[in-house]
Amino acid sequence: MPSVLFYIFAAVMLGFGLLVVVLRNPVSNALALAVSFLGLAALFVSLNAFFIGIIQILVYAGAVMVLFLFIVMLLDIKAEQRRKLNMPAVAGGVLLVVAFSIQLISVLANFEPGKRRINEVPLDLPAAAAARVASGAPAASINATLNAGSLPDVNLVGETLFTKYNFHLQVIGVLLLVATVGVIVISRREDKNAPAAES
Amino acid sequence: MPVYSLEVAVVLLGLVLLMMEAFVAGKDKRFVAHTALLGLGAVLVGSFFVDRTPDASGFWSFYKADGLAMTYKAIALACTMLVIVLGLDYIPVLEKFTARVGGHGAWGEFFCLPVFICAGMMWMASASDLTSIFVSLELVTIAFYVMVTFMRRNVGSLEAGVKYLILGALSTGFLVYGFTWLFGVTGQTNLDVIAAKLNSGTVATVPAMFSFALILVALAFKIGAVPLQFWIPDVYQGAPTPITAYLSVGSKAAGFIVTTRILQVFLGSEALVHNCTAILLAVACATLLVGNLAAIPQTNFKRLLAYSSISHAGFLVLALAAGPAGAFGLAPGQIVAYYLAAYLIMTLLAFAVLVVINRTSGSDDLNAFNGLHQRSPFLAFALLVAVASLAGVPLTVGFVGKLLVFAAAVKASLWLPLGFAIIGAVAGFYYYLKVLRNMYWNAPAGGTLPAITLSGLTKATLLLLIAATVVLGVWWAPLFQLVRR
Amino acid sequence: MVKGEAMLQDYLPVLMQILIASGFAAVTLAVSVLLGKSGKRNAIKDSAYECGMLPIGDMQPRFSVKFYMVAMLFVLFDIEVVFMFPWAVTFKDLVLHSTTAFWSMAGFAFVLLVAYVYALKKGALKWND
Repeated sequence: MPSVLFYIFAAVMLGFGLLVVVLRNPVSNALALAVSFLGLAALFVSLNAFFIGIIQILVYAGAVMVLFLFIVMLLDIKAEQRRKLNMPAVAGGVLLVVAFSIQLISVLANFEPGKRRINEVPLDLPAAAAARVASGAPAASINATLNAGSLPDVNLVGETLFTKYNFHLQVIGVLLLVATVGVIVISRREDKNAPAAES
Repeated sequence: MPVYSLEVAVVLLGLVLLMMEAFVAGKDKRFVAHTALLGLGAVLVGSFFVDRTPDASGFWSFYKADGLAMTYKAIALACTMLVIVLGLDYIPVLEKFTARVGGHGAWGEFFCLPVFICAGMMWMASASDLTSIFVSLELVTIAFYVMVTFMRRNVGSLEAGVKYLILGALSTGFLVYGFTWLFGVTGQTNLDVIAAKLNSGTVATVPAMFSFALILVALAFKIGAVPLQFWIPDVYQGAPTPITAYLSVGSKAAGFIVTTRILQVFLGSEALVHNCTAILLAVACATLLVGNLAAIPQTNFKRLLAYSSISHAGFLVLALAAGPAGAFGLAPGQIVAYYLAAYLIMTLLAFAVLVVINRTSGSDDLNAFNGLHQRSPFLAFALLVAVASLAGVPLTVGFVGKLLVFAAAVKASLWLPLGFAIIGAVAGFYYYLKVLRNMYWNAPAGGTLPAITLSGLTKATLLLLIAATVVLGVWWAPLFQLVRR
Repeated sequence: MVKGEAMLQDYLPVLMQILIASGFAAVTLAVSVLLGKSGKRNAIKDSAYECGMLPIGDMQPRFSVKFYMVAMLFVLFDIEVVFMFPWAVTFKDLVLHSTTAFWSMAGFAFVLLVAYVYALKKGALKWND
């Protein structure tokens, strides 16, 4: 029964992902993208990654809103709707997708560990807690939660991120700084009397 | 001082520059560039005196400070400094095409962002884990999206930015998907552990090959090799010229250190080495062919250098594919590092001349070089040295690089790829020397043009690069020492 | 033990909620079409009524660039908050053990503070000018 839910959410994600590509109106594309992300978030949740699932929705809600602004502000929607389909490009795209799918299927057929079902490898939380105690992981409250039978995934993400992966965190900090500067450089308001841009 | 303090210093320098740019009054932001040059120079000197021994902390599983990493850190720093010098020469063009704020062009950030890119490239040089490779590579790529689009009042720059952004995002997708598969089959992210795991014989080879193909596609975007090479001419042409130089040298070098490290994992595996080498050789041959043959009909010097950059990527991939033997006592990774150091010198020399031509004539066309010999014999000579070295004329630094690649290919008995490389090198002679005809024999269209004057800093930089090209072409011991550290 | 099956089953009500919501919308639309046959649109009905204004121009108005910039900055700082949330949740546990967690967030936040100061100084968050 729950695997039915998996197929429903996967179908939602893939179907709306397809609509992002197929639909001609950019506003519809953006909406379809948002729904596709919702399906993806549901799949994350079904894999016990609650934090990632929620973040997926929260951040992408913001990102899709920006996409809307971008579309409305910068694109001439009618021009996009009038554009004719470029048949060679469509044929090439379909060919690429088919080739990639065949490749993926043959790889998956060859991948033995990938054939196990998720129900065959249930999460053993007390064992995980015992392993954490043995390795001397810092956060003690996580062990208590694990032993109580629920998965403290935000705590686990936090612990890993701020002990093992703090180097990456610093790099991401610099990345966000660069992005902030970039946004301001590229979309800063100009003087009202500035001459028109040149080609 | 531990080695990671180099990147910390560069990031702090960038923060200081950003705050100086924002808070110091006045419209002339040249002092930002000068401070950046001083700071980066200090870090470059410091990079020879840092303590590189790893300690017990987990940080060292993400970060490696071997000789190769230090060479690429030096390349990143030197390249960033030279790009900033080029940028100083390019200010009149920036003034015209950047956003107009308060009655003048806002180009101060043009000298801040490269410092952060430099930090990203230095992290890439040391990255030894899939996760640290990914974050540092994204830092560099995202900063480059901004830099390519920097001249937002120029439609060409915007077009280049959009093309770079879309293909960059696509290649990031390939990279992450490939990393996912690699993690899926090995359960590890550290490259050394993955290499051991792939060699243990317990790993499924088909999915590992699949991840290899996906990662190779993504890295081909970074280094400008087939199949993701087609963005290069358009983006190079549209981007601000100093940034074109930066993409062509810095971004490519950073891509190659990551490529070297990841290929070491795949080529070190008994089960995978055969197929991986075959794929790499195919990529190398195609890249050599596309780069060199497409360069022949070009009439725009920036596009010519773009195709030349593709063809050099072909030589470099060939060196990596030639196997662990290497040549002249250098491992393949060291040959690539040597070639890139040589490539840095000669390419930045060519771009330095191009920046001056672009500033004085407003064009990147080959015709803009007509009569350069009369206008400035020094510039003409500088470009002569640069293209001779790019073509691989003996007694230049470019020749030694090519020689190493050819020697490695001969040692591995790769006769067919060697044939492609020779075709490429011969074609190179034709299209590089075309520029010389324009400079020395063609008369400018509009009668005699005024002589070109150069600033002291530009003159000194050009002299330094010319001297490096010629001296290191004869006396190659110093560069050998550098890459062998 | 947490099983994938059991976890997903917990979300069955969510799916039902979605189905009911979308089903309600679909039924309402279908009913209005079925019952409202006489109300089919034509060119005259679509035109402006009596003294109504004729619609001229684009359907969607173009926004000022400042909306875009603020939205982009919002997304960037949103991502920063994403990193701060797990930090806040685990901080009490981690700081008992070592100060690494504190300093890693301090470095991260410092870099982004510089970004924020820069944005303020450049007037990126200024609405009226």
